Amino acid sequence: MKSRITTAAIGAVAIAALAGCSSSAGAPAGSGGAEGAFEPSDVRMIVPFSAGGGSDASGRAIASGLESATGATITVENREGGSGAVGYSHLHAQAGNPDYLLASETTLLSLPLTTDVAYDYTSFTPIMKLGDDYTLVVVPADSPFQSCTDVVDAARGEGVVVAVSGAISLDEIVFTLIEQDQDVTFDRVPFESGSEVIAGLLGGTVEVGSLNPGEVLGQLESGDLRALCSLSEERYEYEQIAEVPTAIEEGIDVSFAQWRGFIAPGGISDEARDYWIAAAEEYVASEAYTQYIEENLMQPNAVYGDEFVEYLAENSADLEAALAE
Amino acid sequence: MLENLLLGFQTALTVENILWCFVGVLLGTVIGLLPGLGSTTGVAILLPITFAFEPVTALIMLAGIYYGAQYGGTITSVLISTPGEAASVVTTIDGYQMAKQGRAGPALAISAIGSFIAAIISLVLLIAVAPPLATIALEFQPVEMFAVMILGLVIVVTFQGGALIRGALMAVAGLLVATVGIAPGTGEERFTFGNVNLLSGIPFVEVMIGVFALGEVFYQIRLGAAEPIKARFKDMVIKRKDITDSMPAILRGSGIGFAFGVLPGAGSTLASFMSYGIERRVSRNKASFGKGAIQGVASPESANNAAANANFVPTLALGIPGGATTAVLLGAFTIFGLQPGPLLFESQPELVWGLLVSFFIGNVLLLVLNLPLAPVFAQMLRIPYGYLYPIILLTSLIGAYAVSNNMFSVWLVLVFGVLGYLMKEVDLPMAPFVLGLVLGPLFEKALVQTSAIGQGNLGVVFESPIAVGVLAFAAAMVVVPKLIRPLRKAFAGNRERVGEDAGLF
Amino acid sequence: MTLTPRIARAAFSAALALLGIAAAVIASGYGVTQDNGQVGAGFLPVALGAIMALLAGADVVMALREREERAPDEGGSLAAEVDAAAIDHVAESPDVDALGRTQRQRNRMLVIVAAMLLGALLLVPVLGLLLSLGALMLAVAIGVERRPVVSSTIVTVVVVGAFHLVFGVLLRVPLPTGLIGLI
Repeated sequence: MKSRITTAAIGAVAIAALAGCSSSAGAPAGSGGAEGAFEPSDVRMIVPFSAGGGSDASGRAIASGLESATGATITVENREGGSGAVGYSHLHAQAGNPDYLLASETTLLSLPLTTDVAYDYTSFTPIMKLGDDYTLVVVPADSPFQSCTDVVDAARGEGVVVAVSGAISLDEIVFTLIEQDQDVTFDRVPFESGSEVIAGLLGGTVEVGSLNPGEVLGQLESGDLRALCSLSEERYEYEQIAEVPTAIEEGIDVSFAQWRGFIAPGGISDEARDYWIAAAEEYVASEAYTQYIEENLMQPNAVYGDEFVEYLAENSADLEAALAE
Repeated sequence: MLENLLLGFQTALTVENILWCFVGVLLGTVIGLLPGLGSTTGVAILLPITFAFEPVTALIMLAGIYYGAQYGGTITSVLISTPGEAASVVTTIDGYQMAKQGRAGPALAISAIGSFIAAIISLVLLIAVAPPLATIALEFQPVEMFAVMILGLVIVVTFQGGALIRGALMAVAGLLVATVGIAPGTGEERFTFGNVNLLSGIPFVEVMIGVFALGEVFYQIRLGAAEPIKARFKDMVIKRKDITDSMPAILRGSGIGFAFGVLPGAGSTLASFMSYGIERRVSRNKASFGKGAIQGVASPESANNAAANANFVPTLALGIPGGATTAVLLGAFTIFGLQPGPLLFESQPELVWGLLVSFFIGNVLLLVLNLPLAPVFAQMLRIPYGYLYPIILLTSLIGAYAVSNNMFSVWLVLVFGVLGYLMKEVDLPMAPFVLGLVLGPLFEKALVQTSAIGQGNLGVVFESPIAVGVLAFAAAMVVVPKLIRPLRKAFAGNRERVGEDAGLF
Repeated sequence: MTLTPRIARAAFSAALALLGIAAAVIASGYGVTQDNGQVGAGFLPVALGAIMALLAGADVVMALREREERAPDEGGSLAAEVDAAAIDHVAESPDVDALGRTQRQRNRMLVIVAAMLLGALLLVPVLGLLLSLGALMLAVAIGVERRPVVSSTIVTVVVVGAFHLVFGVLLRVPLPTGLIGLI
């Protein structure tokens, strides 16, 4: 069995990437600003997580990319709390204000599915998906586990303590998918960020974590942590982690992509939406985009506007299936 | 080692880097002065300006903002009882009392001197033993942090002396207010009553501004105008005796501050009041704590500066941010294409050592800047209160707005201003309330994690030797004074003289 | 009953006790423990609410008892108590301050300043944050503190200008400009 989520995601990405290419070829980048009635002023990029994490890095990268594309000033605001709900709720309250953006990722979909929040992805205006970020299953250097199969076997036996950052975070979803696929149970300890999880692994509180390659590369290169498998469809092409096998190779049929991107509040004008899409396309064409994607070891499959909405619809349906235990 | 230092000096001692270091500490001081704007916000806001620089220069300036803000936050705490930074809350207790007695100058000067000494001590430690220290810091996992948080609560409760019950009442009230918002771990909404603004909880910066700044203004209005503080310029300059009296407090504060700063996530606020709480018990001058003791300013100010530097231990050695501001700085590393992590010392020696040496330079600049300015700032208190308090009102409310760019914050400040005033009228201590609010989320996170680790059994805390040690220390903080007091009464008189001559340090 | 400091203290603590009980009751609905026996969302608030109610209750008792014991020693300021009670506030001292204002006047000042503050915040959607707070400053300085009009105006203009520069221009904080939309 192939994970439906990845299949759907890859499919949507392929279609969207094509569409994205053609649309960026058709409309000269930045034209939205020149002809539309919308001119941004004092733009805020909300990051719904604390400074220093993966979302923060992507928010700041997008903000500076959009700044060069539009010439507008974009200030990054970290509005952390409630596993991201606070930041999204804040954007929700800015409905109709095109000067607000939010550096979004999978919690846009997972929170409304599990928590009583006043919004879901249809409450916003999705602008761009930046790319996909898979996770690596990592353990401390001296861990007895040599493969992801070892981890699953241990979970079947005496139990394994895994780190999750938040009740409905990406790593929670990933571990739930493994549990469903392998019919095991993990013991969880909640943390609040990737760097806390790293500290937890190094200090021996948790045995296994699931982190984005970009978050954990420093510790992997120094040898403090080891990657057992990647929860991606294919092996990574980046040389630092090209040796890491996929979970699928080990017979664990789970791969899950976390997407990153940005959204605007709901109810903004078409001009404003087109303006941001044009700016996003210009950013993706720039050197800065490639640099960000490569530094964070992500997959450069950007999608915009309607295709992004479609992608979200499918991803949301798949997530719902994963979270319904 | 020496080679590295030399490399660091070569990197940091360029005209450009010294200039931007100066700009950084100056901007940091200004940002620290403004209520509501702390070092985290300051670094985040000014980060984009540095994109045009070389990474080393940018990080030197950003770090300058970081510790510059620690200095600035003190000035308003002392002069108008308005902490500019959470880490300066404790400084208001004795600092503001000193200002009222016309000793604002010495209070500001001792905090500059204390901060400087603490910075130098902690930098030496940072440079000498950062990697091994970082390994020790990793021993403080959720279970150990749970014990540390309990110790923190004990210190908060017994903080200002006086009636234990009322200190405890206020600390618990602060902790309770901290539970508003989405619960850690489970994601449940608590006490939000459908208000989105409350989802992230009641932020302590707004509470701090309300309770301290606004509450004090209301209280002063009703107390009535006093004779303006008539201090001669001579009194505004710190005396040698003030410095020698404060030295033990500064050294202890540096040590305590460094220890707490090394723990990821504990931070300078915890360090500042832990240090004050301990100093109040061991100082030779303990009786005058809360009534304008210069050690009550020296101790937390040294501690928060030492902690600010110690925060760089896990940040540089492990790639794990020690606090909110170092987290933003780590983000800046990535933006400049540097991979933070354990290899940073090896892969970017020029940058790391240049940055560390720039801390020396920055702190020297701050001392040179702040020492002569202390008496000048202190002159501000000559402004009639009738002019001063409308300005305080305006500053606090605009500062509150700038915390999250939200009018909700401004209303929060008003609500907590009124509450703070009432608390003052009925003589309830305010510092435990604010510190309870700061500790609350940290305490609950550790509680939830410990519960998860023990699978529902909080008793796991007794399985960790470090946690047991910390808890024993906490218990000693409560029990020992009760045992000692009768003994001391019996021995009173000559023993005190001996203690004074021998000195504790 | 007159509102003496001790009664005020007892009343404030009683209010805290009630708040603690209310918080504990509401929080018990959040789940004290989770299904797996681990600490739930309601655990800490229930515990804290209960502890706060106990501590506050104890403080009420202490405050009232102290009054019974000490009330006779505290006599002498009966006038102050009556004065304070009349305006529903805690008496501090009947003294006249450095500017020759009586306690009663100062109590009235506090009420006026608080009311002006409330008014200024309500005016923010119209005047904008800086202007309405500037107006508050001016009103307090001239109306309450009886400062000279000219110097008060100058100070206000300088301060508002400085804040506009620092927050609005330098730090780019989007201060609400209100209907006027000026600064």
